[in-house]
Amino acid sequence: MKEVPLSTCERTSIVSALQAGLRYDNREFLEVRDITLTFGKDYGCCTATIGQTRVIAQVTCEVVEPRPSRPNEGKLSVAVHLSPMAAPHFEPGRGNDLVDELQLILDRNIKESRCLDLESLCIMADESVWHLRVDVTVLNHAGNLGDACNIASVAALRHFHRPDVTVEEDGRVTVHTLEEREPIPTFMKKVPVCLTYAFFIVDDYCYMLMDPSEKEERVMSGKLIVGLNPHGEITSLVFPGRVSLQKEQIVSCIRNAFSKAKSSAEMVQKAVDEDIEKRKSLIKPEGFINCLASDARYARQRIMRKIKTTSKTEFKIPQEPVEDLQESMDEIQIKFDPFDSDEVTTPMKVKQHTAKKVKVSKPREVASESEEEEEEGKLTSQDLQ
Amino acid sequence: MAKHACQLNFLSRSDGSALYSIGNTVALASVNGPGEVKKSNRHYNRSHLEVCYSPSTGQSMIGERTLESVILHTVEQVILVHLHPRTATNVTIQEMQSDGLALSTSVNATCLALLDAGVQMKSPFAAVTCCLTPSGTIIIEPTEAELKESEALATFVFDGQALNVLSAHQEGCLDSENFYACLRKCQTAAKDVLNFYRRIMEEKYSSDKSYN
Repeated sequence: MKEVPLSTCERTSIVSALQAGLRYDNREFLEVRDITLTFGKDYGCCTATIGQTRVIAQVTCEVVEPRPSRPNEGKLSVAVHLSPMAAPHFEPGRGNDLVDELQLILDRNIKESRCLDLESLCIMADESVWHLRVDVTVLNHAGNLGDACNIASVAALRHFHRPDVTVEEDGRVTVHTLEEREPIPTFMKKVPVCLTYAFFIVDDYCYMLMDPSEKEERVMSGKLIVGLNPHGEITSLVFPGRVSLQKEQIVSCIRNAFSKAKSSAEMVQKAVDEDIEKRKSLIKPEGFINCLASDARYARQRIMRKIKTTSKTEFKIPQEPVEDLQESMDEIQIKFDPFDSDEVTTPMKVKQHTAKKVKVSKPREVASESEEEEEEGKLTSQDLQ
Repeated sequence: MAKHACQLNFLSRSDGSALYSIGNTVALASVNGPGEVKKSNRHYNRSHLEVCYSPSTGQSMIGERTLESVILHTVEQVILVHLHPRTATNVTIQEMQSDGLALSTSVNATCLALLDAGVQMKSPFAAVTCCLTPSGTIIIEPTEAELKESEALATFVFDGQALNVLSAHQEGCLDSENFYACLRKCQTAAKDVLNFYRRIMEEKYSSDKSYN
């Protein structure tokens, strides 16, 4: 199925709301949606939600031969899957730009940042090592998939326990089942955090948002995805879209990201530790059955919370009788008469308005720009260290 | 019987979705459609149905394809496909947690997702799995550990009106006597499943929603 296009009305409405300092879901510009982490029955299975975005990550392991160039290091691989479940326009088993982008972010953040001690995954040098495989599946695409995938896979990796092994004298490797021996937790040195900033260029003024929703992602001029850890290291900078920024703006983004990285990393660590602690008690883990809340419930809770906090400002329900409404409806119909000369001019105005905006965004070559900006980013990372 | 649980309208972007669990097996089904269809799949007299089952790890292999085909043939019999010519209906199922009952959980999740999406159907359908132990007893909705010990495993899908068999899937050997014994036991269990559906749907359309 094709993606439903976003109308010009919706676009202008989102942009003009931003100009008024508002977002569609009533958030501050630098406010992140609620993040929840839920763990499954088995080790290394985790679903993460950011608002209504929902991602599931599952870690599996197997014994393989190591690479000849690195004989005493285990292997780690991350795979992202997008099915039509996430959004109707995705096709199963076929890659698109979004999958490539997510794959790139996760590879850099988790694999290349070396947050996991790969040497601890070695069973026998040159012979056998553990291969950890993280499968990340997007269940619901409501914006900011990069952060969601990163949180889910990091939590799943931290939560994962691999089975114990014994090596016999003749070099045979026996893998013990989870019932036979206590499994071994994975050792993660640093917790990678990923934060997304969206930029909107309107009339030569740049608006910066955190954690863009799906609609905002479709309207925005560009985004910066910063991968970092609380120890002051930048692991990745991805800068897609048609926007050019000053070095100061990127530095301020990265500063902001560092200020949020610690709390985000602690949140993940706390959720994982709590769940592992629970498993040590005699009660068997139930998994997802009773702890996953649906998106409808999430939306309802948000509205209820909003009503509670703004209970002082009373909601006015129009008490007009139905007949009056009917009359006003009739009036509206007359107003939208296509032959009415006053109304014809208004859509023209809107058109001019949008045409202006396209000129401002100055589309340039995307690839070269992103490389430039990444170099700048690297400079700043050194500065910060 | 194992405990059944369900949450409707689970995903915000799908037309209908359901998270369904039997015991410790959890599956998530989402339905999109009837909607736009590719030219190659366009039928002049009916809606094109597509079922996609994705496992929680790795690519989908032959086992997953089998599940897909069983679900597809079941759903095709029930949905009123002739009402929506030149459209496509997509069913996507995601394995969330596995404990041996992948097929019956996904079939039930699909049924509730279709009901949630408001796709016209002749009747609802319910799947029940049972297994035969070496001692000759029949266990309804076994766990994975029980399945490993068992001799044969059978899954039946029944329609909601006369409890007729829509599809049957079997692994291992069953003689005709045992097969009919399994069928009868599953048939009685299916009534409970259909009652559970009714309760879930009544909850959905009731005015006082007890969401906590």
